[in-house]
Amino acid sequence: MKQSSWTYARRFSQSFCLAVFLWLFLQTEYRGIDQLPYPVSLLFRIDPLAALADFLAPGPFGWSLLWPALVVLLLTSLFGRFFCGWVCPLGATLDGLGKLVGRGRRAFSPGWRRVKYYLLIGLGAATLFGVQLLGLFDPLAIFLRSLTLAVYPAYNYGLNKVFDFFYANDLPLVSPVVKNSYPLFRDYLMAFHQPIFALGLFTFLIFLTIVLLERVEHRFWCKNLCPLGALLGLCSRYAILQRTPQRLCADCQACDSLCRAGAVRNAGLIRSECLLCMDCTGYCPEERVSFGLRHAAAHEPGIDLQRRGVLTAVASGIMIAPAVRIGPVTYEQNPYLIRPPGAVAEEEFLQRCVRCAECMKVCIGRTLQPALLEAGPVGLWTPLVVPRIGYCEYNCTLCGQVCPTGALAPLKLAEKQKNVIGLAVIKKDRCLPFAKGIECLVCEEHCPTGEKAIVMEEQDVLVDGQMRRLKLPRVVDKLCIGCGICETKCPVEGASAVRVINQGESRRKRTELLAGPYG
Amino acid sequence: ESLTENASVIHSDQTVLDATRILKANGPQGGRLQHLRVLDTLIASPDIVAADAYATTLFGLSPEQVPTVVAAARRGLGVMDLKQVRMV
Repeated sequence: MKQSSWTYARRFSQSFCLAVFLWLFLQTEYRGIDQLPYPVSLLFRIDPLAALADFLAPGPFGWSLLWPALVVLLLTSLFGRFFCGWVCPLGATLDGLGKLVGRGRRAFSPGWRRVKYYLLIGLGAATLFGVQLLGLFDPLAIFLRSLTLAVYPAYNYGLNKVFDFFYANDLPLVSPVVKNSYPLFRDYLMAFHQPIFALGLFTFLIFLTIVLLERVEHRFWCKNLCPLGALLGLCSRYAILQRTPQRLCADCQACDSLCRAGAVRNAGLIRSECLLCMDCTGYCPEERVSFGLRHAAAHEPGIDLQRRGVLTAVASGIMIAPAVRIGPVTYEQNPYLIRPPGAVAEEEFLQRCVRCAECMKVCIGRTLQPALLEAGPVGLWTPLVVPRIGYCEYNCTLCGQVCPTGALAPLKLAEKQKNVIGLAVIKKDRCLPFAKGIECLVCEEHCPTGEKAIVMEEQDVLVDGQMRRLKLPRVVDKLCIGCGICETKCPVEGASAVRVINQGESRRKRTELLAGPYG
Repeated sequence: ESLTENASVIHSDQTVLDATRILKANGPQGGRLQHLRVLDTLIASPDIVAADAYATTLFGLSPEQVPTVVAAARRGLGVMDLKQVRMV
């Protein structure tokens, strides 16, 4: 297939954007500076779906964070879905991996095109009524989530094994090369310590499914399912970047089978579907195709959304809200539901969080883990503090710095150190001094609050028929911020003898109790 | 007692104790600057117990108040009576 310089330019742009996003991804890590020097969550600051979630959430729109998303929307209304063809890292991944997995050329039922609009409309309606699930289908969130939770941990694990092997087995020629390249990998290309995440496999399977859909049809996801593509498609209805000729030429019809988006029809170009890949400028045997700036023709074909479908989508979206609301209050049902420091109140948090996994990537204590059902049916992939896996570092404010939608407020260090995310509770049936009469003060030693939130108190205890003087730990409620290092470090095997519950979180409005209907 | 057992198995010829900065409360993690004392002191001794015994005085304690020092002296790992130690 002949390729024009436009195609090369597009490929360069895709590779460049992918490289930038991957580089920013690698920078989403503590590298010795408390304040991250780069806008690492750029991918979501240019994401119109993240902006939509923020816009529909309570409170003012986060202009300072999300203005780039509005620029993307503006440019899309002028030029069309350039984002899908030239910028989107998931699109670039699909284009890049397509050859590897094999590319389907089946002409899929055009009815499927409507699915992405229904998805967008349904999710939008649900968001409007307070249940924000845009992040589950946001391609950028899917991309970064898969990278954070699955690909990057696997990549680190594999690389470490390779380095270990060549370190342990001294192969001539190979081992010295591998060993000498290790500092480069360690300092720039690998994680400080092996990332560990729940839901890694689950997240990866979804990513894999989207990639394998390439076997059915090129860019199956982008054409049929992507709600971001649908949003950009709606915006590009009156774009002034026009393709000539608009419709299939009577003598050739090559575009009918070759256009990856299936956007060129007899009736004309379906603007909302054209990904601006510009391949047609190359493969056109007559070299007729060109792009230029012109006003849109009066009668352009679009995707007929069908009133019935739209109404069904709106109705299902609206129905989600009451279906969720009649469930129990999640943080009361699950006392171990702990959110990162700076999290806004749970209901608003769920409306703002786009499940992008940036906070989980950057967390240096490895405490942030994606939720499956711990945060209720709509809390999938939202960040949880899981202290038995890792703890919230006292001197760290990174998660608030990377959150693109204000679900986690950026806290100054002094604020963060006063921000209560939970409360440690000692389990006397597990704790060594209480349960076994064995001396232990590990939790007290690790407690990072300036004035210890766990204190040891001497007491006479009857152990095995004898009175012994033992030091017993006690949590000072007003000093504990719930960082969970005590739960992480507790030497008792299995379930920790000290556990953090979400009692007394800073983000929960306590005045409700006093000023409520009963107060 | 476990610490003194360690010391009885692993013998040291010279003990160096860094007391440049000492933390007087809320250690070992989470200390505050107000609990930090800058002493700029180094203790060096061939006798591990004597070194520890002297270090207790930096915290305003006496060697007898620290059980590990007492246990070590009882085991004959060194001298804890600072009067018997020659300071240089």
